[in-house]
Amino acid sequence: MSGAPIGTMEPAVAASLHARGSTASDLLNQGMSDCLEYDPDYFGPGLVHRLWMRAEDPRVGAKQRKELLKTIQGEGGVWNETDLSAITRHGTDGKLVANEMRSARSKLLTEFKFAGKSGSHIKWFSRTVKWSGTLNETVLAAATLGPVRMLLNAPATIRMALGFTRTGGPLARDLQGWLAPGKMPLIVNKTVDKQYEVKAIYDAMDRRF
Amino acid sequence: MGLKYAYFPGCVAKGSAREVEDAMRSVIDALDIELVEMPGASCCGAGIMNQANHRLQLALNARTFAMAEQAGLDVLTPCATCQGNMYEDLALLLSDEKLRSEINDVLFRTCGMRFEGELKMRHILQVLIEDVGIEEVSKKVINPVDFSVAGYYGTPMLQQGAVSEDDPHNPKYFSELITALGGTNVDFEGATKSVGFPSLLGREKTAMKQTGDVLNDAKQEGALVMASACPLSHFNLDTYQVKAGKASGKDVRMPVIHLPELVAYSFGYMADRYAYLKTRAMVVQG
Repeated sequence: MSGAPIGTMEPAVAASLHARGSTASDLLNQGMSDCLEYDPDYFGPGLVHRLWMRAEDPRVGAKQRKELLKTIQGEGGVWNETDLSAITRHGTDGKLVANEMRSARSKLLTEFKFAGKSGSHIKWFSRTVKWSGTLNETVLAAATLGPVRMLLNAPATIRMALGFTRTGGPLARDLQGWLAPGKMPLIVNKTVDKQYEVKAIYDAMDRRF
Repeated sequence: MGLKYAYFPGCVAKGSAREVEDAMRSVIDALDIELVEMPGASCCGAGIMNQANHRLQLALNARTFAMAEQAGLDVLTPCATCQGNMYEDLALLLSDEKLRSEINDVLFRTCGMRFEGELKMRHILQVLIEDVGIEEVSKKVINPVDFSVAGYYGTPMLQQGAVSEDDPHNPKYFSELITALGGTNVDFEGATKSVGFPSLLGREKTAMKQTGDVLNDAKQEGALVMASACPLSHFNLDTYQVKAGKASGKDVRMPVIHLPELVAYSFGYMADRYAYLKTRAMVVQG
């Protein structure tokens, strides 16, 4: 399999595909990431974007498309990007590349059933918001990291849970909650008003969560 | 001054970073700003949810926008991630009539609401510089920030238009604010760089290296304290600071506070915490 596109496609599809892949330079796109220099395995946004465009090309065969998606999902692929907003701010091209990377992630989450730490993070983030209307950081961290990594992450977790920040605030300020009710941060989220509306929106738009 | 906004604190300010909420209350009290609560507003998605389903996130944010519209107000948030994310969604809904109509259909069916787009997203930094005005802010300073401060923006906010006319690649608002509060602004390259917060749980090693470089950069340029306009990035910069130091192999020790805290301290609120901060800064500096 050379992976070379074969066959034809509808003009409207061709125009859309062209527009989605039309940026000034893949090399410039590579430079839009803030994390590329810290991650030697990461292909970079320019290359990931190009691979994704190939996967979206209807002339590519099913087997080849599957291989492309596996590459984008795997180490070095789209999940190695730590912050899409760093790409978004690079003008029209940055916005286009970031949007396509986001589309790739959406497709991969469905295709690979929220696999990996990043998939798990997104799934639990969305779930906790459905449950209460707001993000539950405690549940998110516990569900994404799992019990072993939670233990390994204990210094940061304790620091967060106790409110021991370097702001100069009273140390372990949140322990005050045990003495003075009302000062304890909410480990279990208080639901937003009319949370049933939030749930109804989820039910109408995405039942995976 | 008669300024009035619909208030969207963001999940973190109501959760693990309650100091943001404390400080915001002080700042709006000092500036005589009126905030209208939106107790039904949900999470903005933080750029995470839209990776799974952007339309779902758009519908949730449209619901929040509709609430603010009902009150006839713009939305104020202290969070750079909420600002960037909601600004982006608002702009998309305004520019795409078909999409807006689809989202409105869902919104009406599930909540009996409609979103028309008659509002703006405002971050507290914007409000202080543009709506209140830097001179008015200066007049309120009781305890000038008499040390060097590095202002960290948070990348979600740094997109064209999200902070009005401020340049996303070379922003000035934070430095203007620090100077107005009596501090010495520290220009550093990391001010506009990402610390990788959205992938903190998924790609921790890379995010920690990014965070370490941002902190070290500020330190190298002479900052004693860093102030963050993004409570989410603050996680990386503060709670994960020790890990960031180990991952990057650099000196990253520095007190990191939130932007509203810096303003509240200089306005004379929470004097005890301000004193702790100054002590901490001196101890860390050695």
